[in-house]
Amino acid sequence: MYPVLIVEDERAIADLIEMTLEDFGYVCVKAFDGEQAADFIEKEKFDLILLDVMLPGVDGFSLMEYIRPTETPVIFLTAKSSVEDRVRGLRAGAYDYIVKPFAPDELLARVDGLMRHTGRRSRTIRLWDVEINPDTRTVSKKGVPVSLTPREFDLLMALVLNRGIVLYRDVLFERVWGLDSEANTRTLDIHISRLRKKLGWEHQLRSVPKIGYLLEAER
Amino acid sequence: MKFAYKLTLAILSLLCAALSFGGTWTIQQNFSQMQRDMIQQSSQQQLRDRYTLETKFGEAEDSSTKTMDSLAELYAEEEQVVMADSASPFSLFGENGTVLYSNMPHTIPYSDQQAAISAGETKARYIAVGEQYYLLLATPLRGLDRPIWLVNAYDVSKQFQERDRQIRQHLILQGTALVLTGAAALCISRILTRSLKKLESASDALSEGKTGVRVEISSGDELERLGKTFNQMADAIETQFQMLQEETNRQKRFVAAFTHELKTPMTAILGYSNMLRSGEQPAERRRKAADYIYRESTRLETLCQELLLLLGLEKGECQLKPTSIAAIYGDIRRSLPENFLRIELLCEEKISVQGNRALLVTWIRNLILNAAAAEPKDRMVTVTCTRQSDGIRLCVEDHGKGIPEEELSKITEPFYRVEKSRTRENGGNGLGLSICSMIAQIHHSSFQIESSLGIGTKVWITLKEAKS
Repeated sequence: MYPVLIVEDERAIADLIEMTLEDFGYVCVKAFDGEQAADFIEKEKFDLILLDVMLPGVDGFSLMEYIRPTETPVIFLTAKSSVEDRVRGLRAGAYDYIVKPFAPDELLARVDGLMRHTGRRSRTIRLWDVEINPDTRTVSKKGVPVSLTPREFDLLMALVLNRGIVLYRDVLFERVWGLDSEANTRTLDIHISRLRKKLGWEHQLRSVPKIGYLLEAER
Repeated sequence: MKFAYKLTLAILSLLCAALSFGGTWTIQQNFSQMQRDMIQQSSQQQLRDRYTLETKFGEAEDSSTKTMDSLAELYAEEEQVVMADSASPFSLFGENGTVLYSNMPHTIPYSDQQAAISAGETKARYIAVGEQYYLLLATPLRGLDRPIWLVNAYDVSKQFQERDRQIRQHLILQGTALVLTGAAALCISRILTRSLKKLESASDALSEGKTGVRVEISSGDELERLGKTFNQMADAIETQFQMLQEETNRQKRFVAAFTHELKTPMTAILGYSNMLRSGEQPAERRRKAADYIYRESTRLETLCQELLLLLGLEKGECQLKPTSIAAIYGDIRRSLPENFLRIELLCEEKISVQGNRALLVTWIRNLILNAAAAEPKDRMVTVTCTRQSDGIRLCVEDHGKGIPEEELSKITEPFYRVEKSRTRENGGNGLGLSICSMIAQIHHSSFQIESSLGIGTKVWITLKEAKS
């Protein structure tokens, strides 16, 4: 497993990406301009490069020339959302395209998806004795399939993407059920207890009184 | 209808009218002359008949109808012999329209003969019988003991035929003339209106939005002038169009640059706030996130203020008052952070300019900040104020890295950056020089930049001196 290279001239955004990916076990290296990035690419190996298009010095498209021989997958980050720009990015050999502003969860899901698809991470996420396959939306415990409703699966993924952090009840509810849902947070509590039961996570999936829920990070 | 056709038609109508009038008049004149001759000739002939008949009737003792009838018949027969074909038939009428004698053909109606009598002696009367035309002349026989009228019918068909022939001939002539003239006129009109055709197709092309449309007409008349005017109009339209397009492009670039400028801080603010609101974060991370949110929001706030300033300046809501340079320099000294570059503010003498104090301070301050970003080797910026022939020159000069020549024309565009994103770290948002250029405009001055790579940059405006 090699680290992820973040090429982004805005420190605030570079840090944001780093924090998001760190939680999920990715090691990140940051470069703040094109020259610095080119140096890293020459010297080190990376599993993935997150590349801002507008860079001081050498720009993102020019950097692609350096990256292509290494066959490292690239996700472009850009504030430009026009179709031409996207096409240009994909033509240049980018694997994916993320338009600013982006939600950290979206970035994480795309990065994780790419890593699993390209075989750089295992296709499934393993947590204790539970194996989750985000592509087929299936879950198994000790090799035995566990049947989850779509909502339960969404909830599980929201918890997994933020594990180690106590999630606020209402925000977690909003993420899974959406802003316009008619249901209330009681529904969330019911789903949580069912997940606990189905996956046998009585200790790992904890209720934090007056705050929300926490999926322990695996040690 | 095409103009050439109209022109041809107009020419033909005029020609037709002229020919018809001329022809009719000539034929009419000829015919009148002929009629006068006919009448004169016929009158003389009738006079001869009258005298003969008067003499014959006078010699006769008996003036009974029967006698007269036979005498008249006798005379008519004599006449036939003497005159052969040219003898004209005649009638004699007694009182109350009674016919005393007549060798007139039946085709000449009685009523017409009567009408000739009632018209009187001098009046000629024409009647048409089939193809034949007759001239009827009536005259009373004098010297007899009772009134007798002699009516002669003279065959004038020849004269009428002659007139008809003339009319036909004229019609043929006129027709031929019209056809020939029509063809010629059409050709000439086409040639004359060729310039119009050019103008028309050029206008069409222009209205379809084609550029570079020009006409070349060298006819030396109004059309040539019209062509020139058209070309001028096309020039003006193209210039206008280009200006509009430039303006639209400028606005598009502005919006694109503006949204781009918004997106980076927005991404950070959204990302960090989303992180904070979704769950309990470690203290260190919370502090960092809040810090970034604060800093990026401040950046947005500055952007907003500068944008408002720029828009305000564009509207031109500004008052120019006499302002002393010393006061401006004082403001600048106070507004710059300590431990900044060395700033030299030079002014030869006490000078007051016609200007807006706050704007001039902003102008100098922005340029000093820019100069600082250019990393001058001597860590110094010089501001000078000198009296020139055209006014007071306010100049900011540094010995930094300079601006590439090809960028000079673009740097006053909002959000334009020479180094795409590095200046952001110094808090620049790409509006500084746009504002400076706008401030120069408000002070009725051009915004002058002189720069060479590696040597430095010099920026100045020329202000009006205030009369004290």
